Amino acid sequence: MELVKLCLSQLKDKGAQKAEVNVSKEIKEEMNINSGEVSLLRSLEEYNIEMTAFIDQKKDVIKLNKVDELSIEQAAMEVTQNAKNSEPDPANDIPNGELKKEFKDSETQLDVEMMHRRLKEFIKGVNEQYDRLVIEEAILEHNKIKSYYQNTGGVELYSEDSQYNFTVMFFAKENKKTSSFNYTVQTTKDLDRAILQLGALSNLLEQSIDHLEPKAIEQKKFTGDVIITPDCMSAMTYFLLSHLSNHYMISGISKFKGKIGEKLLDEKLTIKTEPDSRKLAFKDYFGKDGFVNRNDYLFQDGVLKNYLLNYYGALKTGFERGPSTSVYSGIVIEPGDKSFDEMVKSMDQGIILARFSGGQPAPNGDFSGIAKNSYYVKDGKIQYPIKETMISGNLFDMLEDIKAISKERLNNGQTLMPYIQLRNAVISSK
Amino acid sequence: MKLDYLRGFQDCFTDHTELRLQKNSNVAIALVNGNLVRNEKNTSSGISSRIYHKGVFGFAASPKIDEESVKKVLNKAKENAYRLSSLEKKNKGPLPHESFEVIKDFSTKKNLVSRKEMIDFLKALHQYATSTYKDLKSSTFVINNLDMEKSLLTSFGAAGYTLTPRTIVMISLSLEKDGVTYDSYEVLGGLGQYEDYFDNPKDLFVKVDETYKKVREKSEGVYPEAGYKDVILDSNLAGILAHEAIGHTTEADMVKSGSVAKDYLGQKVASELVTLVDFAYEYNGDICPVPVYIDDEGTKPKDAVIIQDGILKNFMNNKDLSVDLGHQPTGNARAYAFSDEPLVRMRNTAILPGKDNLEDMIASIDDGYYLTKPSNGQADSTSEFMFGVPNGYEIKRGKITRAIKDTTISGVAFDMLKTITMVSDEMSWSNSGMCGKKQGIPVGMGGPAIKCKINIGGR
Repeated sequence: MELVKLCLSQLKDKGAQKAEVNVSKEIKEEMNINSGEVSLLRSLEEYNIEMTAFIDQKKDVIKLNKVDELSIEQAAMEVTQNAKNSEPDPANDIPNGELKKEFKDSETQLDVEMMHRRLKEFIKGVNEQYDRLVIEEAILEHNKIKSYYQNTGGVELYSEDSQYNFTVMFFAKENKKTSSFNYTVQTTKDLDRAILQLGALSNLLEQSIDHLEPKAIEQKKFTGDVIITPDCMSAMTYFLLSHLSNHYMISGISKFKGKIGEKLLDEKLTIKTEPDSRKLAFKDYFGKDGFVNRNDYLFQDGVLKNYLLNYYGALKTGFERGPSTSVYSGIVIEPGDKSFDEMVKSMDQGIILARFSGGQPAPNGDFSGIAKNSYYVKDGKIQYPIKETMISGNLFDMLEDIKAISKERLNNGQTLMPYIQLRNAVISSK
Repeated sequence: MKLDYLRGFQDCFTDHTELRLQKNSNVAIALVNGNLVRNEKNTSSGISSRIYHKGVFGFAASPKIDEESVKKVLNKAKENAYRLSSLEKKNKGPLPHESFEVIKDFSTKKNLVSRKEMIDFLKALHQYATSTYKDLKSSTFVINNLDMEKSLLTSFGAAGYTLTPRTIVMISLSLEKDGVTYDSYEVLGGLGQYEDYFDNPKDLFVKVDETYKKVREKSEGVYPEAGYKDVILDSNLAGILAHEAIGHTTEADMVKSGSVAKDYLGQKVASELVTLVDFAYEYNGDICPVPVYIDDEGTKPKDAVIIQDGILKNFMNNKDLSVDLGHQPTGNARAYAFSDEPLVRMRNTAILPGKDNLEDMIASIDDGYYLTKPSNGQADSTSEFMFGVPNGYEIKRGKITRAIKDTTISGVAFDMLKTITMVSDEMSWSNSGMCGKKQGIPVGMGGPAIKCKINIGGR
């Protein structure tokens, strides 16, 4: 906290009328698998300092990773000088009030030997159980992060968190046949379980082997259902929730601007932000704008409840600051009343979309891309893994009329997602 | 001289060692609807060391660069290498090495402008756009300047100092038609600092006009018909085709894992009209967008000729993988931040121009599309690729007709490349590419216009 105080006092000394400082210290130990072999052990100690100076409603931000007094003094001088020359904006402000809070999640102990043991066990397990599977890259890291926020308005926040993150990219290979790559990310508080037991990893590995023998769908173009898997839902929610965040809201191209309280999506859909979730390993206790994040609804039964605006975005647009600000993590979708099997049985024709590789959807929700690691469904049965299949539609229109949401959900430590069945996707094959 | 500082630690080198001192400095300014929503500078610097020992690497980094901290980093990297080596017991042999020194500084020779002048530049663009085009729904103007300054010293005598800046200005405009929002954008700039590219905002008004024209056309355009179509990929798209469709499958880490490219070495993988090269620093005597004169593990970079006249000739690799694959290192090992380890990355990947004329190419298509701009893209181990297409046109009976709305194209590279029947005589470089592969890193991409068959998304 001394470092934060030093930054703040330097900013005031150099002429900032208001100021805020974010400091994080991260200690990371990382072990990497490359091309199926453990090949790197990496140790990092990183500091991130973010100093913001406000002068006459003008603002400038400087970020650095140096913690010595001279570097901080020079940065404070530069940021205040640039703030003086910036543009005035009434939305450039900080929260006020005597608020002092500390947050600490249970500590995850670093165990390098266990990290190595889990990775070796993972390689052995994959070789034994999934003989044609190739681990292209895997990263197991232990992160310990301390974060501080302090401003000149009396807000002081501190959090301490630690966890393991596992990221893996893989595909299957047999003679000259190669499947599409796939990947998954898992955040966990411990290494008690084998890596193969995390999330849906073992299912995904099996699917890659299935995809050594994909087929092009015979019917070259049709309109049908699509079941989006939990792993794939994150990409879709990212785009949807972007419309609640600063850029879309401030620029005025948000689909949802000014519609709090309106039913905008299918009533089966409830999306929550849970930055302090009991269900998720990931925690995001406070924002860089000095607000404590809270768990709350974004859409409840299809009704828009909150935006994901930060303090600047809130002042700029006249709406409330969001319960959190992240469109990536801490996202929870409530389960539905159908099992995955029931959803498949209900399909006349369509696909199970396990990975979407596509361009950024247009602001109006139009999207198109390749259905990767996906399956063709006809007459209520999964038929075969597919290749060279494109899917397109309008995400907003499709989310206004959801066919089903699954009871089953996947927890990857950062999000908790069900399967979602949508109608009217255009599916085309080569 | 930062290399001299590193040389003070040479006596501490005991194994195959890299010691890198690096500073990334990034200025980012964004004006959205005239509001300065981003105005910041981010400087990240420090020391890192990577040590090779019997087939594994130990890596350590610290933002502190005093003598004691540098020695600690060297010791920690060695400790990590030995610790992992004792757990892995690989006993792989030494890595290739060569001794040379290079110094390349691309910082501007002009006087640096203030942040205020940069903000005023964006304000002038905003003012022009909104006063000229009253129906705009929103406008975004961004300046992004990244200076990467690296000093590298190795135990085997390779040493280098490079300062490689990249500056871009992005213009993004949106408008609404029939209740639907459309957007279009243009990115300008490249190798160099702000002062090297941007002086008078009036010089960019024509780009604002072009961006408006494109978003207007798109709003009045049609959805492409989904399916397998004849298309012309404009030279602006050839680079992303080179990068995503072929480049990634021929990176040695992907090859070692088993990407399809491994099976095709020495075989015909494309039309004989296709030659594809990952250039180290120069093409036709001109400096490429992301010049690499020494890579981050101390290899003198060579151009990697990946496809020559349709035959797959080579891969891009680093020292470690060149041993595994029995090839020579190409100098493709690059790291983004001081705290990142070098990975096999592309540098300036391009398809070389041919002899055809763009107009003739368009005239040769009866029913298809002329696709003029890429957005994001992705590659696959199978060589299936996709990229977003925010702008393009229908071609009917050899003529460009209506604009199309946003779409995505995809194909299997080693099939699609064989469908290429015409290659234009132009060459265009994209200067703003960022490739995400564990670490995001600037890349250059280039090429001519190409006539081929491809899968297009739509309705």
